[in-house]
Amino acid sequence: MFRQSCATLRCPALCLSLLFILLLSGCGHHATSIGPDNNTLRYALLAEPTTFDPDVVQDGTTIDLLQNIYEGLVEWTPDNKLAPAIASSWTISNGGRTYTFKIRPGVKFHSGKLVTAADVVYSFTRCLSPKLASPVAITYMGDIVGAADVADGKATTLAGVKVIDPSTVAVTISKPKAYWINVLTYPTAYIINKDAVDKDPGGNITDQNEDGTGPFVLTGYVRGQSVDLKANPNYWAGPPNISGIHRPIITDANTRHSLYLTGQLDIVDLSAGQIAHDAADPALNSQIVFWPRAATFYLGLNQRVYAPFKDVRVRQAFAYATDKNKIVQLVFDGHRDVAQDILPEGIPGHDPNFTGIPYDPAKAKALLAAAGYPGGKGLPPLPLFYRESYPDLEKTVDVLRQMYAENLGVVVEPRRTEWATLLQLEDNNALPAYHIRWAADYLDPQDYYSLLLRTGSVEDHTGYSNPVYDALCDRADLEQNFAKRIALYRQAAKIAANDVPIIPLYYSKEPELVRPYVHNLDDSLMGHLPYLRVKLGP
Amino acid sequence: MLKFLAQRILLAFITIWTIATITFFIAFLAPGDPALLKYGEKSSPAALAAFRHLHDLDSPPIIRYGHYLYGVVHGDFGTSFQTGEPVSSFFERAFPKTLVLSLLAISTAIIVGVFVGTLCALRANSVIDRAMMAIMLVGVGVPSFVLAPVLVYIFVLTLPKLLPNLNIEWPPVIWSATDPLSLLLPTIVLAARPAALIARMTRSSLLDTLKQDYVRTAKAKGLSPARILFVHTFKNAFLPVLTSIGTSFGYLLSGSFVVETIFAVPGIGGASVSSFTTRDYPLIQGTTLVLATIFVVVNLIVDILYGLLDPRARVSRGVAA
Repeated sequence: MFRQSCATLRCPALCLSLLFILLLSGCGHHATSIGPDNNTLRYALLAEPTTFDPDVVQDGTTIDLLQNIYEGLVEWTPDNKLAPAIASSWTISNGGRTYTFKIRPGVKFHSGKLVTAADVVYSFTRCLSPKLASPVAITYMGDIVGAADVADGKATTLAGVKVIDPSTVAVTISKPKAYWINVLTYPTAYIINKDAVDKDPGGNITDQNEDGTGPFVLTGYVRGQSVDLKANPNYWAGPPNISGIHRPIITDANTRHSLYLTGQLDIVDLSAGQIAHDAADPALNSQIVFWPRAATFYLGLNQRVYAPFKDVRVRQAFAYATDKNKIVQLVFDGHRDVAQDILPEGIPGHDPNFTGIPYDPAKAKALLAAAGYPGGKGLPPLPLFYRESYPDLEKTVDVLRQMYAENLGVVVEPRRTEWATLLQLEDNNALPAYHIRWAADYLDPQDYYSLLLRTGSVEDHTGYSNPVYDALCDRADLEQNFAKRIALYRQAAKIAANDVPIIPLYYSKEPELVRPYVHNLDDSLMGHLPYLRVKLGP
Repeated sequence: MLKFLAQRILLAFITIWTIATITFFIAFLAPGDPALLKYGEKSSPAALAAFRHLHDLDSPPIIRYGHYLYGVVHGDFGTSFQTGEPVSSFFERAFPKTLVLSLLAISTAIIVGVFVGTLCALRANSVIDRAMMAIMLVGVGVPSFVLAPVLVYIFVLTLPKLLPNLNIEWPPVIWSATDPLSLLLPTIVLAARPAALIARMTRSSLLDTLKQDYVRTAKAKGLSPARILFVHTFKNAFLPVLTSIGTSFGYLLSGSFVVETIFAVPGIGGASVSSFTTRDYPLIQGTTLVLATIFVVVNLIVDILYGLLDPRARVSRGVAA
């Protein structure tokens, strides 16, 4: 009886499919064609921008956004050199302590105001102000005379920065550090407009009071959705080729990939799993680009915690037992460059012919035996820490574990660790061995040799100390003659390679898919450069 | 009824307070320093200290707990560690999006679920019944992080390429404020599980009710089958389904993390996922508390509806209407 009365309900599948087709059918097509859209570069942001204030920014995603809106006195070029930006030129005097910058004539903020020396003074002072509590300002600007006083609230004017005339500004630093000018590429040294900052009741820089000098102007920010920029027609080097940049905020890697495949993004980052998939696709294969980055992945050997590492022969044994080529092949299908030295290729002072300790398992065994651990006997298990949710790190650690078991007879215990915990343990020098990366702040050997391995430097977490190495770094840091400086760092590099406080494994590369119609995408070891020259079209 | 209500509401408050307390103190159990995580190893100690001070991380736990409860009562959940946005304004912008999606999904689930469930009950053990129930089992079993990419693969990446000449507007990959079609895929993914649960519940409940004596009596009295079904049986069979709808709706409002992340919906779920990985305690605590409150409120409403629909529910709880 019920069967008959409910005859209309027959074939539910049919009804549902009809409903679905009704829902789907519309009047037009969704864009399925692949090509440039409205002369606008579409490139996803991997996360919500953390800030719009260049003085406090420190994450790469947001820096990549802000460097198109703001700029500093100097900037990086595609060949990893320092170039004039807002400053048209500079001279160095006072034994390497005073830098006198000429402001490029005609550089205007987006509001139309001309940039003068007073804006440089304001920008350099504001970033250090205690109220702002910038996590990066003192790191980058701390060498300027009087910086600490401003940061501590003891002074409101920055003693080391002086207006000479409206288009000339002099900056004096506490020591003649030869690498110093490089720090001015960092966003905390970008030039900002006081009038715009004052528009915010709290004195903050937000998406509402942006006023940079960069090639693009911020036109819209919808939290959780997107950031939009349009070309700055009054840019000092001429307007950009594209009319704007659209940055949708997409946190999911697969979603970004799908958007690229459907032609809604022009550039997209690639995860390890996606590389293999796209490489197998003939159309996509040619769109894969591996951008070299100024970062070195290494293995840290901490002699403070793991006593056997106090013996240099044990550390050397680990180095001889490390087959870096195998790591690059097994983990990255060969898409990385083996690191012989801590300093990546492209940074002044990198020596392409330098080979540190080569892979030699026999020598590794002999050294270990000489140190009193024949066949690894007597060596306690070695906990090896690395950051969680990074499959590449995990795979590398696993390859290392097998290598050291085979070549040294050492039991390595992989310890996958959550990032905040890992940082804290590293800060307390509590990691016996750790696989981590060192990324450059600026492209200078000082950022590697002196910051990472010099005794007592903030980043020295291995307990390594060699007075000869320290003296070489100290001399090099202050040497004003470029060639002499590099030669000193090379000497230091040889000592470090032989002492093995860390084992450099490979240099970083960032894989991306880039549509063939995207031209002039300028890139440096620090990341993509501002999209000023980018051209979209056949 | 009033006493019943009062009891329920009191219980709801205690539940919410307990959850607020647990989420607050659980942050202390987690190792790692949020300041260090936010600013990284290259940051200055002064900046770390300023960050801790700004977010009240340098006060003793019990004082912080006091500040936190005071803030919560006044609608102030603190500001996000990562973006500096007040958590309350985050809710203001994100919650409506999650709500719209949840309402769409639950309506779809109710329509499909009740329709399929009824059909299967009326045709119990037929081929259609078995086939539909098998499909529903898949709906319950396949998690959204599998279903979502599969649907994207089919409807976004494959079909538009295979059928370029069909005059069909294919759904886009991600949510868009201006394109209603962009809600289609997330709605389907979100509705799948509740639809399946509702269908199964409707089927079994209806089968059960159809065997009741009063249905037989009604049949004997010659009432039309439609009248028996829609007027007499449905109301009674619907009670357990209602609970299932309530719980599902609560889950939808709180549990669309995966779907919102995949379809880039700027709702509560997507932001919550990143707040967990970045130790954004104010956002984690705020989200947990608000979602728990929603859950409690939805359950409260279901309880009240239950009481209204079925007087026995009130009596069995020892409270006469």
